[in-house]
Amino acid sequence: MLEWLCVNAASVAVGLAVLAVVALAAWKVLKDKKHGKGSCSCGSGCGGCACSGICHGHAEGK
Amino acid sequence: MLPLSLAEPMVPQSIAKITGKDEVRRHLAELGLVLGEEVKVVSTLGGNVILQVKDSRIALDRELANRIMVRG
Amino acid sequence: MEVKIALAGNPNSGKTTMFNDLTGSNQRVGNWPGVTVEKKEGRLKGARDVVIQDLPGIYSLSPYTLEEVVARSYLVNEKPDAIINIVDGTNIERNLYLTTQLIELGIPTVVAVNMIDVVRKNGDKIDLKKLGAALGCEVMETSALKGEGSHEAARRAAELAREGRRVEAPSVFDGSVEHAIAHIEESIEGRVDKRYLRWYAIKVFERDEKVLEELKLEPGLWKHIDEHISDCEREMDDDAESIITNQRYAYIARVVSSAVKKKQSGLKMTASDKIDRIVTDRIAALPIFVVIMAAVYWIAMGPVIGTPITDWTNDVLVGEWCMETVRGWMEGAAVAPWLTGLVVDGIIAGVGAVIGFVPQMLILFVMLSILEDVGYMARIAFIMDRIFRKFGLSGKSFIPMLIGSGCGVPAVMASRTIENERDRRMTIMTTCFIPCSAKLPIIGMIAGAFFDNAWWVATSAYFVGVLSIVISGIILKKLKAFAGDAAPFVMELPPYHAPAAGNVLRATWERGWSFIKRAFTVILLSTVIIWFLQSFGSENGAFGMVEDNNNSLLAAVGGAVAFIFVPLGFGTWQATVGAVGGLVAKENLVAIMGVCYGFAEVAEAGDEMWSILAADYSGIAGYSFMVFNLLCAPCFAAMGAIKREMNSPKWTLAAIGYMCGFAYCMSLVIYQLGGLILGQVVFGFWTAVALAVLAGMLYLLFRRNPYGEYGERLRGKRASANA
Repeated sequence: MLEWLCVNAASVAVGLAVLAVVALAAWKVLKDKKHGKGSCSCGSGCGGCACSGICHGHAEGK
Repeated sequence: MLPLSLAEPMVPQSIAKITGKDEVRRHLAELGLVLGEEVKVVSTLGGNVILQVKDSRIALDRELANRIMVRG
Repeated sequence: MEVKIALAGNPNSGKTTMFNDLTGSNQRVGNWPGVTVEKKEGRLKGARDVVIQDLPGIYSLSPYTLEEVVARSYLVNEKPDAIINIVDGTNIERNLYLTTQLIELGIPTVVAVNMIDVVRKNGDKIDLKKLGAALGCEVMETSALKGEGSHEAARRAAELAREGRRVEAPSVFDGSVEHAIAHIEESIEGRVDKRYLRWYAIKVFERDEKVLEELKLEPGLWKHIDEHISDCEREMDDDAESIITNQRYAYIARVVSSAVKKKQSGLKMTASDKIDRIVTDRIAALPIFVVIMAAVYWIAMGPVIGTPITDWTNDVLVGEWCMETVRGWMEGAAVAPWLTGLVVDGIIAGVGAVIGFVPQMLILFVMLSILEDVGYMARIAFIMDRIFRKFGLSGKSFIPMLIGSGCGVPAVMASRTIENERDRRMTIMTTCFIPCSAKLPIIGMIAGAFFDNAWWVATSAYFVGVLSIVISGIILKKLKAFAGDAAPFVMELPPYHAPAAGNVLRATWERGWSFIKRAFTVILLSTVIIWFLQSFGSENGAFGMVEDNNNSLLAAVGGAVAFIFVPLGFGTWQATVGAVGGLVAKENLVAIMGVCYGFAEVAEAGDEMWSILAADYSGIAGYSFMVFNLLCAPCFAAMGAIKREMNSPKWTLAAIGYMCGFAYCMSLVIYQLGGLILGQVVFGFWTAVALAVLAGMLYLLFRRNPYGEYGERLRGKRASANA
């Protein structure tokens, strides 16, 4: 058992790293879903979007 | 009296009458387009009109411009 | 003690800039309950107990538009402690129309005359004290853009809120009207908060529906009040609402003439006007527009800036720095080959493919933001209106299309400027037909694999998108749900001004960061999952890692569903999985297909994969595949935006269903009939079906419109007259 670990140490390390990254990603997705943020490619809804002029109001600029 | 869409550009006109549905008239009023108000046509594009109203510029489509009558 | 300050003002008055200035990043954005109107709230920088509530931009407190109703309800029901009224100093008369109404609410108000820098440049002078005295409130100067005065105004508002002094609204109206109002005040006293008494009384005078509903006056009392109002109407020969409106403007004109000294009196031609005369000129408008848009796209995707950056990102950043380096490490450390495959060819390749197109999208975004900030977008809507009206839409439906070429999410949100619900829904349903930048890798893949990278493939993709929108517009307009002429086009054109670098850059950064976040979360996960699914399966009777991924789990699942796409020419499990993967994010599709075909470093070009694709599908099938993915349901993010904007599950499903159905029909027709013509398809059952579908679409397109301009059903003679 220990021998196998030694030989494949690199694989194990990488494998764990991958698992960690995947878990982190999954957790982030679930957290966003709960906050209702959705996987909107525009983070905070309409936060500081310069296109906010076109998004709401009648041509609200600036 | 003639519709705004036919008014001469760059000449001050006084609004004589606005015909048509109430909602639109109210919205125009909020923007400053009321009877007696002096406006000026800045530009026209196939009947659509850009209007100078109290320091602001309002764009209107042709049908709407037809409903606003000004003293020629 | 917590203090609530409401921020109210016209659209285009600089409210957003001031809100950002006052709250910095301490803001929270959402929607007002039940409506698609944005709600922004934040805390004042440096004074955590002061809450700033941004209200939607409104021209007045009438009960007619969603924004006005929302603002009104907030002011009357949530009872803020103070109001900061942002007034555009260069457009002061119209802006004061709202101001007089706000003051009638009896809430301590600070009027912030914004854009004071422009006022000074114009040589105009505003006497703040005189203005304040006439209006009945404090008036201060601000220039939100230059960061001048906003915090002082907020601080003053907070002070006034804490003092809680009674606000004395001046007499704005004529004697007889004021008399009637006083009468009404007496009648409704006790039914409403003392502060708001005058406002309610004036609203009752105007016969405001919502207020009357709220007050529920007894019939006898109302009759009495109504008589008073009618008396006034008879005396002034006008309806109550118009009386109030006209008298407000008259009062404001008096106030302005005493407190504001303009350098140039009368209506003058500004620089903006001169530009507009050229830009909206009957003949020059469209060509100028085409030139500007061509420049935008050429910069973003062209040979000088766009393509080199994308290529560098894909080849160098992802290819060399990441993939090869990591592969080197892992092989050097003797990591198990399958794990190396997962990390390098799966994760890094998948995420890298997506990161690759981000620079191009950002550049496009910067350009579009600049156009919007400068004020040209509003003119575009005006210029396009004439053309769009022929299809039953207004020019305001065009802006989402433009933005959609960058990303569908803000495009769908941009439909908010369309007041008419019917038109808005139709715009939301069709905006995603335009190829967003995430769909570019798909176009690139098809162009490379089947058409030797010909230039016309990409152009045709945009053409198909626009054509689909136009066709959809015409067809949908002849349905009951969407019938009727487009709403009248009314839009305020803000004066042109130099783009504010801050706004543009901040928005672009936010968007870029979101995309990258998405790449490292959602896309990473889906790549890993797909990679595993195509690595495991039943080969030779045993379950485990497979050599040939045609035996994998993924192939099995995909294959089971792939029959749907057989009539469209791409009924393989790889294409099916690709299309479904595209729902997560369109940019994902190419990477997923790369994994399915066993390739790494697919990135945006996917050279190695091309020959395999060309072998597996015919040219017309490849094109049909591209069209299907361009037109079918957009990515999850865009679908989320559609859901939010439609605010109705029924309509959301209708939108997505329509897009998928339309995509299927278009692909079917293109593959079967196009293939027949090109000799790549043999006439069969599905070809006949395609002919029928085409006939159906043509019928829906060219039939007489059974509805008139108001959406009413036309019968018999009227129907033929209206054809």
